[in-house]
Amino acid sequence: MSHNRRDFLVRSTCAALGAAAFQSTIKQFGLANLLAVDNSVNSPNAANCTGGYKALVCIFLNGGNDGNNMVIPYDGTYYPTYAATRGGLAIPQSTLTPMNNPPSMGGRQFAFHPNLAPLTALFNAGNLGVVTNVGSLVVPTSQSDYISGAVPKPFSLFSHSDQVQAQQTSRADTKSPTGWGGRIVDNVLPCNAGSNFPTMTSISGSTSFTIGLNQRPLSIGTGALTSVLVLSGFSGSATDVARRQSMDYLRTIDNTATMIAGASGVTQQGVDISAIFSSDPVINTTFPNTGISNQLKQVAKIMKLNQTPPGLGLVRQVFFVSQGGYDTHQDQINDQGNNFTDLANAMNAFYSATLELGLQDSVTTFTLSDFGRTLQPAGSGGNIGSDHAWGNHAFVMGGAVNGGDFYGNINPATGSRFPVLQFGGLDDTTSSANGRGRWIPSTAVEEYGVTLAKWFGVTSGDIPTVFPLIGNFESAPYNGLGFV
Amino acid sequence: MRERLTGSRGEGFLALRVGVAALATVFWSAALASGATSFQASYLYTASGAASGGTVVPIVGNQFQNGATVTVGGIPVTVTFHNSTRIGATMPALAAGALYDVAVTNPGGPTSTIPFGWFADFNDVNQASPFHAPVERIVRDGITAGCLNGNYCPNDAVTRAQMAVFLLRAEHGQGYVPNPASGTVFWDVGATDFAADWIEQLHAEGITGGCTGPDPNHGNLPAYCPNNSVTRAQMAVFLLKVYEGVSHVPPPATGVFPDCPLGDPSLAPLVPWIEELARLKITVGCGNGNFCPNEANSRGQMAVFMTKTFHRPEGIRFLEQASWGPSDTDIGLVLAQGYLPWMGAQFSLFNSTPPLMGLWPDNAPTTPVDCTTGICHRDNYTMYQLQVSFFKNAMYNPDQLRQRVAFALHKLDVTSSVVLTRPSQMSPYLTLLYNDAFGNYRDILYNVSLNAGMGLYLNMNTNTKNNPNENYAREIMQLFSIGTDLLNMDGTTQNDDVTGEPMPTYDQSVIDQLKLVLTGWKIQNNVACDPASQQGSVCADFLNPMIFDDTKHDVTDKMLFQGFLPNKDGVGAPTSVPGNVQGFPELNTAIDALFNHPNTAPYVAREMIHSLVTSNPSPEYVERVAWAFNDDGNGTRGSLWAVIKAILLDPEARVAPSDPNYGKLKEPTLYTLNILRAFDPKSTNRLTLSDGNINAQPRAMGEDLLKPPTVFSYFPQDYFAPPASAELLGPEFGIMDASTSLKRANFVNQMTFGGGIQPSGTDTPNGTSIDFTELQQLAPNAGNLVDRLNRLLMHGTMSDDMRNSIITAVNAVTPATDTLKRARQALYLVATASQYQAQR
Repeated sequence: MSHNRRDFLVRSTCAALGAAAFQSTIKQFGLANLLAVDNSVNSPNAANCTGGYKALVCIFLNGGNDGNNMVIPYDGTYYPTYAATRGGLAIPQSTLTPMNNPPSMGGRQFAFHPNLAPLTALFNAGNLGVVTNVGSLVVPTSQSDYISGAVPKPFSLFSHSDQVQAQQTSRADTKSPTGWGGRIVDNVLPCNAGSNFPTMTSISGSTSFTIGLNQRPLSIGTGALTSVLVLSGFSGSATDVARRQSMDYLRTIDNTATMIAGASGVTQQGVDISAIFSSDPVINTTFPNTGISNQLKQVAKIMKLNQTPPGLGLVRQVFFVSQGGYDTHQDQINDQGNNFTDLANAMNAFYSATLELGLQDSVTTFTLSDFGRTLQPAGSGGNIGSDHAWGNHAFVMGGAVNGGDFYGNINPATGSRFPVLQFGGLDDTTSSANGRGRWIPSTAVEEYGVTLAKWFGVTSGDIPTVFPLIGNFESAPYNGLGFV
Repeated sequence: MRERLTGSRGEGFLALRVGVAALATVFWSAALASGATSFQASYLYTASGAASGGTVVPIVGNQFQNGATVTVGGIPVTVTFHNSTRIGATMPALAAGALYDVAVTNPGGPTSTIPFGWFADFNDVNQASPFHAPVERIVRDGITAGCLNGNYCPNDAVTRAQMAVFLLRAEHGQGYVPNPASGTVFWDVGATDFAADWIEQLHAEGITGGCTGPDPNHGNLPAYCPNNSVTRAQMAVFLLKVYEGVSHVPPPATGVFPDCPLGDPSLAPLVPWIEELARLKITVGCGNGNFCPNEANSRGQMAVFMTKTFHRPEGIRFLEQASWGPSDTDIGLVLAQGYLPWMGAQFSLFNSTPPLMGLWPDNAPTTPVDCTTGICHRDNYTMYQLQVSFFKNAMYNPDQLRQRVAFALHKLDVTSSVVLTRPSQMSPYLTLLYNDAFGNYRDILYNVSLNAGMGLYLNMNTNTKNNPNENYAREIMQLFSIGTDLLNMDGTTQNDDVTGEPMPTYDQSVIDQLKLVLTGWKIQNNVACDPASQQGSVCADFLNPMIFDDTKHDVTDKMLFQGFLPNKDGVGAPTSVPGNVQGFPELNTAIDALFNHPNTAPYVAREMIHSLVTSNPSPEYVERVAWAFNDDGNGTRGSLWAVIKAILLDPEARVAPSDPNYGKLKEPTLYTLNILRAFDPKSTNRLTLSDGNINAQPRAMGEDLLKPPTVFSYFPQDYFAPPASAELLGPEFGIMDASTSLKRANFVNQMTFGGGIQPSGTDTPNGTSIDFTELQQLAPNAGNLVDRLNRLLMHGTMSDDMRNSIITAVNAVTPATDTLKRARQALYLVATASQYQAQR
């Protein structure tokens, strides 16, 4: 019982038990507090487990990435507006290299930030797409809706903690205990029948995105898999064996107390997975030695562990990684530039690693961030930055991605999915010239997530369970944004 | 439970052990409501006073109404209404040396009673008596009702017969009635003699064998000597046999007291117990380093001994909340003084000022001193000195409560060495938190706002009228004062009647106005660098507050909170900030607007409770603490001292929890220090103090001291304990995952089997280790060993299952005679257990 609780849960999930039967089994074993199946969640239709292995990889850009300097208008019509409004934050046109014209953008030219050059190549090769002006929304929201308050606004707009929540839970209307990654995993758990490895793995903490109702995400650090989960101090001596037996037993008792059960559950997983990480798979692709690269390399290694016999038995996996330092209230030119270098090199290496593993069409990588940032710079002096805003651009990467183009809903008021770079313009939260350029998203995180979830195997019938607000934006069969 | 029993045969007994008792100065009702706040009287802030009456006593509870009436012992008293959680009552003249119910009745409404809430002092043990707190304590325990006529007779000797009654009352509780005596156990105790039932029970439990061996002249029965005085030596044995169990074997004596020599055959069997009593700080001796083993034990001393022995678990539990971890020394102090007096002593202690670090240039110079590497770099460009000082202070300094509160404030009003990479940038900020830990929260808001490190961290230093930066304006509201949702006083959100969703406290328009109020402050950029080697260089001044530059200040009129309600039932209360006053007046107006916002009290109360006591406090608890923020009893708002007292003296902090959701996961820093402080941390060679270079341990567990990853601190304040579906807060779980959970265990492994943190180079000259001497002495008997760990580390809450499992593991140690290995085995298992990692 002590070390096989997870196995039991996973197997039960897969043993064709109905949801109700499953729950009663759990309760019978007194494990409801560890699993806490929520009765309010509709019992899922069968997830689509066909199509072989698939993985979603979320890259969260912590702090609120300034998308205005990630995807930059290049052509002679639009660059000057960009340069004028961004002032000291404008990236000189001479340093930009335009990507192939995105077919859906009507001949407009764009460039990525110069430090994102490796992504330009991926874009041009059709393996990377851009979703423009996506953000947290409760319902589709026009500028006049926003100003008049005619529609509900996301709670605590522009606040880090709340908007991270909104991005990661896809719930802009309320605080949700589960993230959309976790809910997707809940839905596809039956696909991984028989595996004793978590479907959700974070290399960057147990964030909201990873939390579901029916499973415990695994959170580990970087480095050799054989070194990330090591319990020190146990040899085969009689003393140590007895200590280990007692230690394992202690995790199984006194669990009526929430805080005790929580700590025991987390530790149990550490011990269980430690046994699985008995080797450190070799990835030949070179990853730079940066935080974000090391995280993505860890993802690649786990994928390789899964595909190398005996494997982990997973046909669906979701990963979460993150890169910090995007809350650039000052020193943005330097800080964001350095971050972008690391990000682009890491994503590029990771895509190469999926090629190495033969998984390039099976792995879809995407970015999220707290929010975008004000078009207008913030602060004085030589080290300016920008303040918190709302709608933002995102990357999607992978062989399955219909890359080389921009995606997202068109703002009917402007006729474009790309924001009008103007203070108080038609995408701003105010029509006053005092506006600072905070884009009202034309596309909801909900729609972005649904597009990925459907590719991943969540069926139309289950989409409203996994993404409860999707009905405000789209009807069944939820065709999504079309980028994958 | 509320029936008063009077013992027969001379010694009067009151039977009233209500719940788990506090230490003397605070008493509360056992009933705790949960859910929406409801009318209740919870506790008396001061629970004893002169029997002649006249003491004005704050009664704390919930939903009191103006006009509420109070009776004490059935006598109506004068009442002053402060607020819905606090009324003052003037105590009447009452018979001395007794307990009285305190009943509060709302106008026309229900009555809530604090049973035996008020203790009218004995005539001969007044508030100034050193015996007052322990005597009140054992009265509340139902152990004694005094020596008649309203007196306690603290200087009278305790007879062995009385002692039997005292001990069994303490052990079994107030309602305990022993079996009738047979008169055939001790030849000098007849079946109907005073306390015969109790004396024979004491024998039956193996606590006493009498005062002589079997006497052939009296049917081979021993004597008990019921009328002899109990000596202090005998008292030591009696107390510890009851407290630790009759199977307990104290470690061999080493000769601590000159007057308790090991060679005295009559005393020798008692000396190990005496020394254990001293080791547990239950006694500090009788002066001059002696114990006075053969002196009679006075009733006053007996009260002290009994309180310090039998209320030990509560004292330990209190220190888990109020310090960096219980140590025997602090446990002794808390138990001797009582909670409130101990806190009063802590108020005046201030030993832990962070070191003031010299100003160095932004970029480490290479000449004339190379500060890009080595000790120069370590001390002036890393957090090393601040971290080392933090851990040394936490391990060794007596101002524990100040330190714990200052750290809670650091987690609430965050700066981080992610940005403030030099200790000179961080040290003044830390200093102000220690300075103001028991001060006023308004001073904290004001001082952190102008702190240069904060100015750099949240960019107020670049916030100018033409290039505003709203970062600080946002975070001071969201994180330092009012939060994003309108709150009730009980910390629950005020929800929109239609949508049911929380209502925002402010929106972007408020931030836009506040940021303008805060324009013009900047870090003085051109002061002389500190170190002699850098004279002539120019540094930014992080040692002093930011300065005001009126040319960068927005002079338009500002209006804060326009269109926002301070709470659901309130009226709009925008704060006008005229633009022509500038600088300090504008800042003060803004700080006042935040400080006086109705959200600030419940917001700060809730966060401080989370840090010190529990992740999921009841709304009633939050409400009681929030009102203490609003009014310290003298009309002062924002007193952190009042808040801390309200947090730690509240029944929800003090009564052992029955709610399974109670408590909090110990964060890595607290967990690390708890383990160290329990076992006399020193250098690895045990010859000197630890060097304090310990941060690598909590850092591995996910908490890098002074380097929280964001302004949202080391972990999210709204993080749910797993399973998240239960929606119970467990912020510390935000940094506990598969990986860091094993790092916790590996830290314990290092401190036990690894022999501690080993010395290494100049940064770790001494290393850090803990003391196994006492545990080794107990180790031959695994039960004794585990029981000691249970008492010290888990305040006696270890389940039998857990105890048995660890005993089995200790007894499996080979070789069985290796006491160090046995001690390490036991400590490893207790300290790594989730049962210990949760602070309950």
